[in-house]
Amino acid sequence: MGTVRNVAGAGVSEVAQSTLIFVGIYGMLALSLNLQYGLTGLLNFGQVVFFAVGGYAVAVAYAHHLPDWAGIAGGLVAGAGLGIGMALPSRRLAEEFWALLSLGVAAFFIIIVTNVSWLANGSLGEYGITLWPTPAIAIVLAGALASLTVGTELVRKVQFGRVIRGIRDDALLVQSLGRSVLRFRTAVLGASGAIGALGGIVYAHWITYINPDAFGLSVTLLVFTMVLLGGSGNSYGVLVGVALMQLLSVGLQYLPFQAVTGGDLALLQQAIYAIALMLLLIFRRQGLLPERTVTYPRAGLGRWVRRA
Amino acid sequence: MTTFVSIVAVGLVYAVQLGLIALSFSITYRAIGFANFAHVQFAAVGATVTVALAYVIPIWLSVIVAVFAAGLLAVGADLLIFRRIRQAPIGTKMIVSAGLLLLTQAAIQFLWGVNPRIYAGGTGGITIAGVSIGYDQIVIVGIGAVVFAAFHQIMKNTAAGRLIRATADSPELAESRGVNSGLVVTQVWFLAGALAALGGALLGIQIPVDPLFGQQILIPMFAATVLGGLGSPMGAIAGALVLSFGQAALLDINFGSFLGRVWHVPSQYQSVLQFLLLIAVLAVRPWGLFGTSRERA
Repeated sequence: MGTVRNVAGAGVSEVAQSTLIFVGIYGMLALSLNLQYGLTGLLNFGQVVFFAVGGYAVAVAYAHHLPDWAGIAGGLVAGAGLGIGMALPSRRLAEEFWALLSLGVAAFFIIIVTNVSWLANGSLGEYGITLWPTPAIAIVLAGALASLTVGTELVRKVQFGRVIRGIRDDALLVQSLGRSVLRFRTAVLGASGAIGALGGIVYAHWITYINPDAFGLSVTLLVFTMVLLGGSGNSYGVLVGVALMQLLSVGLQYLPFQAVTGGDLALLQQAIYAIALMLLLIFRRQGLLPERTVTYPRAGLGRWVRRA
Repeated sequence: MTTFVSIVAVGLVYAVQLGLIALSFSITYRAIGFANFAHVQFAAVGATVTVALAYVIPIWLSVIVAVFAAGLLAVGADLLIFRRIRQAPIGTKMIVSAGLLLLTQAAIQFLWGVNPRIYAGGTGGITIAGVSIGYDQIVIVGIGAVVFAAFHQIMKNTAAGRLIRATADSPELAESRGVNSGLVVTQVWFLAGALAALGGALLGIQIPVDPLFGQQILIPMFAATVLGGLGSPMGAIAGALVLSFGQAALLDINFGSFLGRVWHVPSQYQSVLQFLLLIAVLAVRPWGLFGTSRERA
């Protein structure tokens, strides 16, 4: 997918505005993935499917002349529902089996929307979706990002966060302590599905067209790169990762590649993202801002001894 | 009878093509310990190099060149990338391999262009029970039978095969008995890349090859391997057979006959069928047909 609108001939303020909005949209996807992979250890290679579900809910509602709110509600419910559905097989499948299955779910979804043309015009895609005014999009995104970032950091420190980080590090141990691993994974995937879908909903109302090409494996990988670059498990780090990758994407469009034209530029971008991801994981796996370990005040006498 | 023969012919050919790719994927999983997304690109290299070279040199020679090229690429990928992250968690390795998938895909697309190319040749054939069977189909099944039998014998009855199995089970133990496990791993990568390229080449001479060839066989490859049990080589072949025949049969059945009409599953839903078949098997046996159960919270 194009990570920014075509900037050729666009003014600086327009580019900046578009970049910020994409930081917001990818921020939603990255925070959703961080919740799954960074905190709960769920290796979701089909992350883009939540984004696609949100986008397609809007497109389907538009294609069938339903009001905007129907698309929004449908997207959020479908995203959460799909997440919950994906949680179920995690009970019996090993980590990498589930990862492969999640990739299959995303491929499955794309094949359906490509071939069932009454949904949203098949492979051609749905054009002319209602464009939301920029301030409205900015407010929705800023509000959602701020509450998600702060919310995730709060959740990390309470019992729920301790349990899901436990599941990430040793699911069997958590299960043996009497916690239902499935229940926590279901909650995390349901929430992540809705968050990712919200990203897709805003994307649809900003770009105003939806087609299947925008939701490939490369989007999932880009979001993984953002999460891992910033620091998997650290919400603020994840936002830094999103912003840096988005700046890189805009910067690439301004570089004076005389020979590099439209299609080749997209290939170059894909190659650079892929190389960045691999170098990052080979040389700095913890990211720029690593997850901080949660510290608790010492209980009992320890507190006083330390103060003294 | 006609239907039966055509299902067997189509099923066997696809089972060989997919089986070679799934088998080699399974070998790397067993020996290196993670699911390598980039594995499909060895098959893609096999297909693209074969089809491109077939314009200038004989087809058998281009297949051999493609197979060696992919084997060397696989060794290169190990030395440059995967050897450096051997101690990393499985998730990290899988993400790196997915990155390699996208990088190589961009490279292939840059060199190859977006248009699909077709191998022109392989005409002629025989007719069995009213179904015409091409010589290319017979050759593919023959190659498959020979390679699978040879692979089985090598793994089971030769020193090289024992070394590979020993290293896969425990690199430390193998090292302590004087095995150069690094060298064995290099051989495994070469073997995996070469077998995948052979599968890709055999598939590529039958269908149009475009730069997304790799991504297109990702789901079938996973489905066949997981069906058979990840890490079980014979399971991967069995998985490919089940998938291939299941798919050939499902695509051939006239589901509309219940309603007195003609309705077949459209062929673009091929991977949907494969995926549903996979889900059905995993619901009953989460570790696949031939895999062994592992504890999971």
